[in-house]
Amino acid sequence: MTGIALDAVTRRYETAGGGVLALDGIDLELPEFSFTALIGASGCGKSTLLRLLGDLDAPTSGTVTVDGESPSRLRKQGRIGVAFQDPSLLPWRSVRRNIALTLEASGRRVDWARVDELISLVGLQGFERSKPAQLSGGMRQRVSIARALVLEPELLLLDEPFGALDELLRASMNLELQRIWLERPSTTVMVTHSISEAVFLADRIVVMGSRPGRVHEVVEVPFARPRDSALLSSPEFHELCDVVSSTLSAAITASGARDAAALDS
Amino acid sequence: MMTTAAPRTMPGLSRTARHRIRVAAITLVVLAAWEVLGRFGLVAGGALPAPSAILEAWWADWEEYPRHILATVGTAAAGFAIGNGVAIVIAIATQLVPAIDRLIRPLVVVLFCLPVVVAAPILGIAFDDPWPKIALAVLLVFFPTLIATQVGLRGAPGDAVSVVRSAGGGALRALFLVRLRAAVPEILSGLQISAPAAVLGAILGEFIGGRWGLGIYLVGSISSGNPAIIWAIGLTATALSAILYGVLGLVRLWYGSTEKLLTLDLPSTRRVAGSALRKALERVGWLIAGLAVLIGAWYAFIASTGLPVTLMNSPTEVFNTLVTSDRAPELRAELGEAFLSSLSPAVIGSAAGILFAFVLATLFATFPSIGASAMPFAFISQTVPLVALAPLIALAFGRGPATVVAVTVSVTFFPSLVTIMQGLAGAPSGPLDVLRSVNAGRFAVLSKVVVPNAVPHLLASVRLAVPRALTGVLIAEQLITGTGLGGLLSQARGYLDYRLMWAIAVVVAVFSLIVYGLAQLAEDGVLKRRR
Repeated sequence: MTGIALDAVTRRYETAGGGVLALDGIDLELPEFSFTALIGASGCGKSTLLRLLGDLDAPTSGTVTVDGESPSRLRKQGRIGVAFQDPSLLPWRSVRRNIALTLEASGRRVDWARVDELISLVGLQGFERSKPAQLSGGMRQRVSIARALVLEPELLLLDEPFGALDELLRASMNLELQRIWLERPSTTVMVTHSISEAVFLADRIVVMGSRPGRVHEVVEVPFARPRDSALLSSPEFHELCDVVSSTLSAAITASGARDAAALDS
Repeated sequence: MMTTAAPRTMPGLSRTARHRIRVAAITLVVLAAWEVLGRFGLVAGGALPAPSAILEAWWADWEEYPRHILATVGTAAAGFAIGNGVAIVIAIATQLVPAIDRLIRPLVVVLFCLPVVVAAPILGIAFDDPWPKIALAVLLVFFPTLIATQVGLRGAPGDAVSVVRSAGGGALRALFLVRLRAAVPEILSGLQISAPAAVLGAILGEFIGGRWGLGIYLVGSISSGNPAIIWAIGLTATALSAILYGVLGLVRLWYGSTEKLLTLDLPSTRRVAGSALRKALERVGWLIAGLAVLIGAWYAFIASTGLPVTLMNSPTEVFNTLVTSDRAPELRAELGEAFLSSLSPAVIGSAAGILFAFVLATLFATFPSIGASAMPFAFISQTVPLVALAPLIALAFGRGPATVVAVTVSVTFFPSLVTIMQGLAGAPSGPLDVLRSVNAGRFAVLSKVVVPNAVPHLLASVRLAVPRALTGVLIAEQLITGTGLGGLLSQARGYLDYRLMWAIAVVVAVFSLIVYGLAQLAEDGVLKRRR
């Protein structure tokens, strides 16, 4: 089968004061080429879920498959792209060479033409030779996304990629991401704290509850693509944002986790 | 740090220029005072010669110096190259295979804790000149670079490593694409710290014997009784260390990395899953495996020398010497007495050294303008081959127990000062800002944030001071007073009593391991409560 399937996935962490159940009984099916947003209070395990999909962590029990294969297999074949809130660029590498990093890491020959093509796709022409320190926050995040896309991944994992950007920049980066994603579609899962970002970008929003982390509800997003900034001021958009917001509140109340603590990583 | 006093306006001069002028002025005043004190023999009956007299002594013997300096530099360079090469390779291996780290940890700690003075005669038997000296330099160089490299490799940006991994890269790719390059600043700091350590090792190695080298020159001129000559050699050795430290500092600056503060922490072990019993069992299992590696390394060392066990004692031989042989009771009594007589100066000296360092570091933290100007001196003080300068200290404190204590104070004070100052300077800025925003006084800031933050550093300085203190005590006893374990070690060497040499080495190593382990436990306990 294609797409992402999670079946009874749990993840337990051992800590000094005993165990913490970060994820409990997660069942999810996400179709191929869908865009899913994970949203929830701090500590609901959404980043953990993302790390499981990227094989950066393993479930304590349950199974995760992507297109019928294990994430581990996908990862080793370089079929996964990731971008984090921290762009985590290597300060000693230029923009071009930072983007090439994932190609080198997956053991492929660096196709510089493709790297340059991606640089123009994310709108960084003229900065090929710049070092990360010379770029603005938004530009660094574009590099980070280009670095994820250069592998032409089947699975794109985004962990609050625009979390550190201001509201205006975030809105324009959302438009950019949509444009890039429509040009290079891949099954995408994005962790975000922003309801409007989730509604604007995703096909479905998985609202998570915490302690233990679990799926509270899945909200479908019906808007056709490409979505433009006019959507942001439409009543339908705001209505759906309100729905997500109240679902999120309900999830938080159900968790009794208004004081939600750490374990966001 | 806390607020710096607003600079008074001095037209036409930059801040750094004014700072330099102040430093130069202070230096001149100190030199002038030193000259007066020395000329009139006011310190300890002429033990402190005037700078001009030292220069005269240097000038009178200047033909002697180049060959001694070259010999010391050659030994130090060989030790530096080998020690750092091995340290970096092992650090990489432990990064790739974490099990290696746990397996070799007891061996690494023993090599660090083993005072070079007790290792020296054994290496003297094991190898032909110049290898014993080089081996001592290797021993002193190895630990700081190993830890620095491990910290650097581990401290690589975690998300960048995740990016490499998620793109299908394994540990090797993460190492070459991210970690090695990210660790360069730490590796450079390790190299910088190990340059003076290599010189110190070379000088201590030269105490064993030989013809050329600043160490042998220093020992040879103790009998001259001329303070100016001893000072001239000691200052030459210091200058050599400082120059090498400075050159590597320039390399680091050229690379563009700032001064990395190394606390020489062994990276903490990963938390294991499972019950308390399982954890304890696993820990004991690793410890046993590590001790097996340690003993294996001991036998391998003996085998590599190709010498008989009568010279190169194996663990069982040492056990015989201390427990089952006819000589054992008498030897144990002798060792016990010597040990106790060495213990008190070691305890008093290191306690005084660390306490003094703590008080001064706190003072520097309270008055940041003093602290800022003291920091460079504190760093440079690390380059002084203090342990090797016991003869200089003996000039001032005579040939009695006071000298042994003074040497111990001096070898524990400076490194502790640097470590504790780092702890005090590293106070988290958030809480500091909070306290400042409610207009808290200096004392409140100090007692609520700055000092508590430095407690782990204080404990680390205890842990790191133990082997240094023992080395100081043993050197002072060996060269000057002839008492305690150092005196016994000299005797053993004089009578070619190899069994006694080994017994002393094992006793001293076990003792410093125990103290090191206790200090480590205290440190872990404090750090654990903070998590």
